[in-house]
Parts: sequence; structure tokens; C-alpha cells
Amino acid sequence: MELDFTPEQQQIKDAVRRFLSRECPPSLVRRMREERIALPRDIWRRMAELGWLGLPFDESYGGSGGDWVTLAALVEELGRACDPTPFADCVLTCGWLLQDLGSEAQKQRWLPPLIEGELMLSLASHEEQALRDAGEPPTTLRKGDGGLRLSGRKGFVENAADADFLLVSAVMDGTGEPCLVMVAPRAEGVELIALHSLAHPNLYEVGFRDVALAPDQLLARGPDLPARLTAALDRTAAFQSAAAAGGARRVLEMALDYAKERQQFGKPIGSFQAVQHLLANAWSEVETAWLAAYEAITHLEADLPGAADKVAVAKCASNETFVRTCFSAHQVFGGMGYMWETDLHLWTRKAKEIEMACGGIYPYRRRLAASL
Amino acid sequence: MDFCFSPEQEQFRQEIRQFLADNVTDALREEIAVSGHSPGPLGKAFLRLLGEKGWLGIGWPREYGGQGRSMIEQSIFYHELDLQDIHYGNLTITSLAMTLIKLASEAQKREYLPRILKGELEICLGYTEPGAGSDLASVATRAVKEGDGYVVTGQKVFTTGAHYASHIWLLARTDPTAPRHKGLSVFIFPLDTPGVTVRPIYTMEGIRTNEVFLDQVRIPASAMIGAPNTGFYTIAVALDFERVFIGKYTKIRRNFEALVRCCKEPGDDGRSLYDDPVVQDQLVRLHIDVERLRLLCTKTAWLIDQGKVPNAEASAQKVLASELEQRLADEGMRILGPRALLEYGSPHVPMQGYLAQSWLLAPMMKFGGGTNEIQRDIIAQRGLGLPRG
Repeated sequence: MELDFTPEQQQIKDAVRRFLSRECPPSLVRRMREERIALPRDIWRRMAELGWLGLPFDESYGGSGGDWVTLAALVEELGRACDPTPFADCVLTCGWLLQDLGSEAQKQRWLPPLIEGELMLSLASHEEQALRDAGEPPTTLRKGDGGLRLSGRKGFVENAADADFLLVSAVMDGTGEPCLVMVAPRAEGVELIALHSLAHPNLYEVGFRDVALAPDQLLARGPDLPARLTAALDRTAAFQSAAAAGGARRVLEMALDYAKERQQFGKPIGSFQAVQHLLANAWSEVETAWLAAYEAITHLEADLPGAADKVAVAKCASNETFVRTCFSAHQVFGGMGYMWETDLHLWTRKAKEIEMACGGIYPYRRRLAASL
Repeated sequence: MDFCFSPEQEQFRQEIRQFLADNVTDALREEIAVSGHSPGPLGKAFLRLLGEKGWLGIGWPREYGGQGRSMIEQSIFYHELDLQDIHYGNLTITSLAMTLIKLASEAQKREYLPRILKGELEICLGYTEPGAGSDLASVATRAVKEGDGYVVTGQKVFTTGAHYASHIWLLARTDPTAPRHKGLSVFIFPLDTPGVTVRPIYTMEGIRTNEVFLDQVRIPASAMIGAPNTGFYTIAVALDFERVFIGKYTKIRRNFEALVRCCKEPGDDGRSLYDDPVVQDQLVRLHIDVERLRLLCTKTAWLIDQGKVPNAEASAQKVLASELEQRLADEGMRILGPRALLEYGSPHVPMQGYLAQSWLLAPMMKFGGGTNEIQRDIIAQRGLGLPRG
């Protein structure tokens, strides 16, 4: 048993923190929200140059096939920095899915530019009845002249306008076979409608009207595809648990600093027991959330039995802790954390964004209910 | 990073399991279930058996008769005991011996540790007084230097185990002129020393605790642990260890699993309580928090193995465990309905009365070993560096 990073992992983690505090300060996160934009590409390319984007991928595609704890340490730091990057969506989910499901030719073609920061992917798999017009069919592929044609609608696509390709889940007309296709958001027949979320600053609904696809845009098909998509989202959820723990710890530190400095009744408010207990509770939660995240990630990496349940515990524990820690910090900061120009609310939004991602909390609770 | 036990640790677990399978009888379990914190004859014999096996000092250094193994291995041992319903709240081994190893003189270690290992020596805690609870620095029991020894006078209360322990671990004032927490010392001496009177107090749960009167009790200077007037530090270390063992995970996990099994039993219509999504959701939330507790317990054991005294972690573990135990008992009873009120030995009692017992015990868990409010003060001030009020 070893519950700490190796010196080398710690070194990488520290370097990531330094880079992010320099290149991705809260002012950038706020600007992206105000302007509703994706991360500027030049920052993303510098992350690529540092080798961040290649961590999950095999060396044959230009990746570094890094260990998952190093990757988790990176993701934890992203969460700490209120992650303005598309790392979770583009790298952890889409890139890794490409490596999981793509043909050798597709991987050789798409993974190297993704790792170099030149190819942006976004997942478009969210489709729920509430977003659909009555009688509107699900997203469907049908065979047309010279290839496949895609029609349908997806919600909650991150940075769709900035992406080079969307990974779109659909069913084959007639057979109902699940498929995953790559679609350029600028292709003929694709319509982007901006959504206004309290969390992600650059979110879209995407409509597909008889969009023509070349044969190599079909990434995967088959009855096991939904399960493989779920497994991929599980993996992302495990890493995003580390991001949530990192974000929560940063928010706790902000609240602690403020409680030590802010004076009322002639004393620092951190000397009052009511404030101390609020923060002591937050600390205990953050510690256990962090442990749960790394236990899930290491168990998933080693493919140990019960890993999926560990992920569910990590997802629920860390995501809920991140939100609650933000709420506690708001209580400590009072009005000073509620103004637009203060930083805390950026993390509060991020906490809810992470919670809602990868299916939200309830499917993970249901999984645990089924396995108890 | 690795959250798994090593193959050697897993092998050790198997060895313990085999030993327990061979030696734990239903009669022993029955005795422990009804005798509360006072071990009966079977319990005492079993303790000596563990002592012979060397398993009371798994994590202790070899030079004091321990096995020199890790704290992770020691916690595996307690985990396996708990799985067999052998709940030893034995603070002599889990807290005081650990403190002796860290702070006592060589002569004291050689005097006490081997006897503790053999299961011969049990120590009760003489901290609390009628006027000194959470504010432990206000202890009024006096130990006055006289010749080559001390004369102790005062009163202790909630001295659990004083009616069967052989020794007392006593906090007393040795310098009344010093600032409050700088004038205290810790002593260890036999309870049959003249001038010691033990009287019973019965608690809400039915378990006996005691008050202890000390009237001109003469003890040698060698009974003092650590330097004079450093007693507050000594008990802080002892309490950190104590909290690690109060906040144990296994018993809570075991009760939780028993509750889930109970909920899954089919009713007359073939449906079980577990078929109710409201029930499932409560159980899943409890499960997640039991997992959090497991991870924190692992962390504190690991910290001890790194040579550290877990401090904020120990306090957090105690808070988490005690509040979770109460929530588990309370919510569990709500789920099971009126039969959850039935106690051990009653017809129709579910889960051998664990929930009812745990529900009655839970208020004590939240103030015993230092109130949870004090624990949160410790986390905030010692762990997070917030200023004192």
C-alpha cells in the first residue's frame, strides 16, 4: 500500500500547477465565461507541447502511454485551476474512445494531430426526451447515395463551434444498430444553437439534417457500443473525480486564507468555532473524496474486480463534496465571494458542471444500489 | 500509488482467519454480546491466547516483544476480529501501549509492555473529572511531591473499566502555579494501591462505568510517564491513537451489510424492503459514507506506518465514524420499523439487536474520546492552522 505520489509524479504535478497558474488564471476562466468562448488554441497547443495530451495514448500514435496516477495528478491540477480546458471531453473521453474503438487507419490518421493539439473533438451523445419535439425520431443514420447520411439532434455539446469533429452516437435506420460517427460541425446540414448554461461557458445543441458522411467517418458500430460508451464515460468520471477533489481542495484553501485574514468583532472570523467547524467538516470530506478518486483510478487501471463500484463511489463522493465545499466557502466569504469580479463562483459553476457530466450522480447511485 | 494490500498482508489475513476459525466459539461471541465492555472469563482467556500468539503487539517494535509489523497489518488483525464480532475496545493495547512506546522511559517500557502483551495488564483512563470534561486542562486532582514519590488526591469520573482493570493511567496536577495545561503530569499505577475507591455508574446503554476516588494515594516517582508537567502533551498523543481506534470502520461496515441483508429478506408478498427505491437511496448514501470512512481509516494506519501520529486525520476519523454509526442506526431503524426497537435476546429481534444497541451507544460515541466539537476544533486549529478563539 502506498497512498502518495512518487517523487517523479509529484514533480510533474507541481510543474502542471505552475503552468496553469501562469497560463490559466481565474481571469482567463472569467473571460471565457463572459465571452462564451472555448479555450484559446495557442494555450492548448502549449499544453500539447508539454506532452499533456499524449498521456493516455499508445506510443505508436505519438502518445506516451503514461501511468494513470500521473494522468490523474494532471487532471486534479486542472480541477484545481477551475479547468478552462477541453481536456476531459477532447482527450479523456473522445481521444480515448478513438483509441478504444477506431480502426488502425483511423487511429493513425486522427490520434497524432489530437496529441499535437491540432485536432479538437467533442462528444455529442446526449439525447433526452425533454430536448426533443414530440414525435421527433432519435438521431439516425441511413444509407444514401454514396455513403451514410445523419439526421437528428444532440444536446450539451461542449465547444461545438470550435471543434474539428463531433463524435455523434446514432442508430442505424431499420436495424437499430448503435453507431458512432465523426461529423465536422461545419459540414453541410449541421446547425449549431448556443445553449446558455450556468456552468460550461461554450455549450451547444447540434442539429443534423441529412448530413453526408464518408465511409471512414463511421468510427464504430455494434450491439456492444452503448456498453463501451458507458465504460469510456466511467473512465472519464473516475478522472474527473480527481478534478473535483482538486477543485474542492483549492476552494477550501481559498476559504481558509480568507477566514484567517478577514476581521470581524475585532478578530479573524476563522477564530470563531462556527466557522472552524464548517471548515473542519469540509476538510474531512475533501480528504476522503481525494482518496476515493485515486482508489477508483488505480483500481480501474489495474482492472480489479469491483472497480466500477469504486468509480461510482468516487463520482458520488467527490462531485457532491466539490459542490458542498463551494457552498461552505460561499458561507465563509459572504458578500465578498458573491460578486461577479470575485473568483469563487467560477469554481462553484465548475463543481456543478462536473457533477452533471458523465450521466450525473443518479446512474452511479443506481449502480451501487444494484450491487449492494 | 497503490490502495491494495500486499500478498504478504493477504497471507497474514488468511493466517488470522484460520486462527479465528479454530478458536472463536459461539459461547465467546455470546459472552461478548451480553457483557458490554467488561470481558468475562472466556474473553480474558481469549485475550491471553492472542497474547501468546504475539498478536496483541503486531505493530509494536520487536525489542518490546512485538512483531515489528506495520500498522496496516495491525489494522487487518482488528478488522478480522471485528468480522467475527469480537469487538475489543481495548485502549490498553490500541492507545496506551502505543503512547508508552513513543514516550515512556526504557525501564517503563520493559516493565509494562511485555505484561500488556501477555494480556495480564489492563489500564483504565483517569482523565475526566466532574469539573473537567472537554476542558481537560482544568483537572483538579493533585499529585504532591513527597519524599521520593507523590501523594495523589482527587476524584475521577466516567472511568470505564476501573472495576476490572489492573492499573489506572491518571492525569493529575503537579504544578498548581504553572499555566493550566503546563502543570499536569501523567502517572500509571495499580488500582489496588491503598486510598483508591471505585464506585459504579450505570449508563443509558446499560454498560457500567465508574467514578474513582483518590484519597492520599502514595505512588513512586517512577510511576510518572514522561517529564514532569508534560502530561497534557502525553494525553494528546494517547488521544490521537485512541481516536484512530474509536473510529473503526469494520464494525460499521458489518452492521451496514447486515442491514442490507435484512432489507433484502422477502416479505409476505414476495417483495422486500430493498425493492423500495426510497430505501435503496438511503442505503446507497450510507454505503458511500462507509467507504469514505474506510479510506480515512486506511490513511491513518498508513500515516502511522510513515512514523507519524495522525492528528487531524484521527479527529476526522472519530467524527466521521461516530456520526455515521448514529446515522446508520437511526436510519436503519426507520427502515426496519418497530421491530428494530427490539433488543438482543428478544423474540423477533432483527440483526441480533445491533441497531438498537448501536443507537443507544451512538450518543456516547459522539462525546467519548473528546467531543466531536473538540475534534473539529483540533482539525481547524492544529490541522488547518486557523487561529484560536
